[in-house]
Amino acid sequence: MKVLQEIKIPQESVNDEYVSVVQMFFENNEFVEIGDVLIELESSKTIFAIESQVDGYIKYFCKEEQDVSVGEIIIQIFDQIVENQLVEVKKTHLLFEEKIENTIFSKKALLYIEQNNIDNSKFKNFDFVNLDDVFLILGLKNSSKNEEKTQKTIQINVDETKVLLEDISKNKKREIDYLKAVQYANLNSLVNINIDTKGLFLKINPHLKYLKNSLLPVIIFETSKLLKKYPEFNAYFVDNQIAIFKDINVGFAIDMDNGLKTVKISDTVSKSIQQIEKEVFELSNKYIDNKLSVDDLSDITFTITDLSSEGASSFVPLINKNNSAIIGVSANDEKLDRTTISLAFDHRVTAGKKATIFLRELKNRIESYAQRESNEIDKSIKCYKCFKSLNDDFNDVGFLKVVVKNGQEKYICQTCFTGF
Amino acid sequence: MNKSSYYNALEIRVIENKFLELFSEGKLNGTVHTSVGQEFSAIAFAGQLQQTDFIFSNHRCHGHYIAFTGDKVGLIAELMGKKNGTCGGVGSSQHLCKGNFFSNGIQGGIIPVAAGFALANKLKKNKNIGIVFIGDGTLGEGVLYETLNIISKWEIPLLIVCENNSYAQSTQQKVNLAGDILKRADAFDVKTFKSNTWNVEKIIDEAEKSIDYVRNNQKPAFHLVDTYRLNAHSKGDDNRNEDEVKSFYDKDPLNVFSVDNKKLYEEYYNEISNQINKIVTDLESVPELSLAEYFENNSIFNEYSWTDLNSENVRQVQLINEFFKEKMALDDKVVFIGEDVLSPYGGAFKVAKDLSEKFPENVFSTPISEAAITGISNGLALAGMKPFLEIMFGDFITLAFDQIINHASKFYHMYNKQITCPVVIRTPMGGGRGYGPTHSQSLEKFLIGIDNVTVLALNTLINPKEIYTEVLTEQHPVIVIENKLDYGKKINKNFVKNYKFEKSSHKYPIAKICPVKSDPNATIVTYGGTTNVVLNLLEKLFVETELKFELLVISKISPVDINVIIDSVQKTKMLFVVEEGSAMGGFGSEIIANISENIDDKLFTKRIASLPVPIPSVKSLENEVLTLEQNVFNQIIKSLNK
Repeated sequence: MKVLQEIKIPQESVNDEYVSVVQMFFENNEFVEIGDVLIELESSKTIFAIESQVDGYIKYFCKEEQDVSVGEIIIQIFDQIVENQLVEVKKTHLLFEEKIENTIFSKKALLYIEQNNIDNSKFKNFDFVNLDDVFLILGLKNSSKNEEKTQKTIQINVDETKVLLEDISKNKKREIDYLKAVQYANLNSLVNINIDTKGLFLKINPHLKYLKNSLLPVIIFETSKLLKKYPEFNAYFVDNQIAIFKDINVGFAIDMDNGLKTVKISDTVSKSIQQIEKEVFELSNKYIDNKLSVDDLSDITFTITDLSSEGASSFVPLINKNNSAIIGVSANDEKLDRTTISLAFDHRVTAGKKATIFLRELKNRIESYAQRESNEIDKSIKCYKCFKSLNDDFNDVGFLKVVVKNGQEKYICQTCFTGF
Repeated sequence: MNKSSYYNALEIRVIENKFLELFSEGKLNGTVHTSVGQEFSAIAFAGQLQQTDFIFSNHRCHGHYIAFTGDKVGLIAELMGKKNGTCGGVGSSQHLCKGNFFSNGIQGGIIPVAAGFALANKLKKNKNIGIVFIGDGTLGEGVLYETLNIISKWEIPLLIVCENNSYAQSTQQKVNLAGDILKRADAFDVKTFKSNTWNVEKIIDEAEKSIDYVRNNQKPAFHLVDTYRLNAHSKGDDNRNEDEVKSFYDKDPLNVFSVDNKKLYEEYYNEISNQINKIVTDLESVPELSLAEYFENNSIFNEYSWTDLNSENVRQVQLINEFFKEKMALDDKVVFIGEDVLSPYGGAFKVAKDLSEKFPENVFSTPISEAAITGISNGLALAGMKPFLEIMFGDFITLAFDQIINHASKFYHMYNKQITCPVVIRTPMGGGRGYGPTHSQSLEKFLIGIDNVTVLALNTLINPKEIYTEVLTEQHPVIVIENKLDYGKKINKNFVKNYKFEKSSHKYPIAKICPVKSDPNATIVTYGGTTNVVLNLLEKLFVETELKFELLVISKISPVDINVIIDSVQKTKMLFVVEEGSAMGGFGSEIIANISENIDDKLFTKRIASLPVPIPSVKSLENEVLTLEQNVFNQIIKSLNK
């Protein structure tokens, strides 16, 4: 009997400590073929399916609705029907014990180590190894195991005559779990800065195809450059150390009726504004179609959340797990030509002065777009009366900028301005 | 006729009548038992002792006190609750102490204490003797007969004076007393004397004879004094026949004296009255004792540090035995008392091995009389000796409770810190040997929390010599719980893989067993015999539960150095307390309550204890009832799976 394929809950790519089993598509010992969807799992961010890469007999190590730890083996596919799995597990158990000297393993730790073929030399200098220690060594868990314990449990009394109690969704629970990783320390801080947007969109829009009048692609682009210069914002706090990411993968948050998700633009620093814009557009479509992959949602090293379309004038963004900072983009105030951007940061990793310098540099970079001499004129400008675009201005007279009743600045063509 | 005797007797009467007057004026707090009518007993006995002799008295003690000490101001101030009272107002009427005078309000309990005090005199070979005053009501107390037996057998120079006023409170003697009083003492071969308070000259002569007998022969005696109290037992509780009272009133020597020597009586009376009134007036402005003067709140939150624990590779019982051999050779005040402790037997668990051969004068193998031998130990301690009493089985300590709670524990405070009682009681507890319901118990829960008593529990991690060397320096009572199964174990041989063994810097060290490297995430507290049970489980518990335990083994279980436990639980937020007694009202309850008061966070706590049922002898049942390894393991696992 041979194990042809072994499926574990993806380790490196998922920040969650566990995922939930949504649906299992076969019975144990049923024959499966390459490409068959074996199981559907739900992480904090998305539901994803796992397919078989071999033909063989399936054995599940989980149940539907069960929470399974990341890294745990959930499926094995064998070349023949499996009769008694436990016997084999016991055997390896004994072999393992003989090999290890002095270190004492808990049952759970031992089982996990065996099932995952983890190299036991990693635990050579341990006195006791429990499951937490295994996860810690594998980098699946922050060593902040005591931190949650030290948090005081706040008892809130509920008077059910005055309120209706509604359970929060599983998604919300995960979101809370995910966000509290950084927020629990209560050492986060916030810096706001205003970007002068006068003439800015006029200069930016010609570069954009899908997201006109949006600062998001530019902010993502410029932030990724800055993260190289200020690596502590591309990092996270762990056990009195700062873990600095080697890659720069800026993520952005989307929330359009499918739950709040943060999606990744990988290797952001190597991409142009146009490429970034395209990816933002494509990822948003994938979000709407519920087609985001685990990879789209993983390994985000810095996050930007854009609430400009909702009209927020300013807000406090919450830092994601394994991040040290997040930028919030508020709506552009068209009267004042001003957009507020906010940087929330983990004060254990950096400090207010550095954050302000970071944010000011970002502001300067963005504002500089307005000053740029651009050879490209935005020919898509339209006359607000006749909707003729500058492209259609065959006389090459040009449009006029006027202030309309509500105080907004608009363009008008000579024809409409002077009258027919 | 000895006029000064009448004067002294009248003085007692005037003072006691003054007490009744002050009581009715609301100037005395508590109760008063007067000896009006019985004064000549006090004059005859207490008045004829030497100041280096001693007296133990009872609730009706004012007369004895004045006759022996002459301290009228101290007595009156005491009853008025003034801080210059002989016991600062703490003891009042029934609990007096000055020099070698002691009284206590418990019937009978003072008799063995007095015997112990007298035994100390005998050991010091100083020819001082003592008197213990009892009433005829006390003849109902068993400890009297335990003591009569011992003082006769050991030839202890103690005179028991039984003031027979024919009433026990309000009950006539004929209702409760069988047989003959003197025959009771006779039966123990104790020399008896008899006199009465109506023949003044005779009682003074007879008292002298009995005192001389005890002093010269260094043997005990029993002196029965027929008398009659003219007042109620206390105040309003008198239902005696008026004619009967009147007949004794008429023959009362002081009343007769007032008629026969009217002028002299009035002269005496006025002089004494003026003196007493002046004392009372002077005392009125004296303040009462403050709480700060009475109660010292000794903080147990002391700094401490940890050092490595050494292994002795010697059995516990041998180390305890060595301690006694070493200390008794150096200090002749150390006395070893217990049942069956003579060589070659050397006590039920052999702690006393060879001691009686090496130190024949300081080792006392006693009759089976736990109350009396505890009282005698108390008396030895009060007299400056260092008694180590062995109660053969911990179960028998219940027979000594009166001596522990109403005597040893109380003396220091109720006598306003004039004396200390550094008695040491050692006793083995614990089951696991099939000794059954009355020889297997762990009764610590009844011993912890007694005022002014330190309770220690030996274990096999800390060298018992270290513990007992500190015990020897104690000024107050100490009870040391030993464990039957631990006697044969070697000290600290039970190392557990990947755990380090440390001890705290406390006088009575706490042993800490924690993972060599890992941070512990659960705390277990235990003491005594269950230490080895828990040690043997640590690895197994980790493998099953994922919990890396820090084990704290407490040596001083009352009062506990709680800050060590707080510091541990502060980190782990999980506390298991393992004890061999049953859970309710026990050591674990106390620790968990204390920890809850001192840590605000949500904690997981669990008491692991034996079942609340008498311990059966049959092996399979005993295994299921007691906190043996499997039970402790199961209880912990069960609590975690709740």
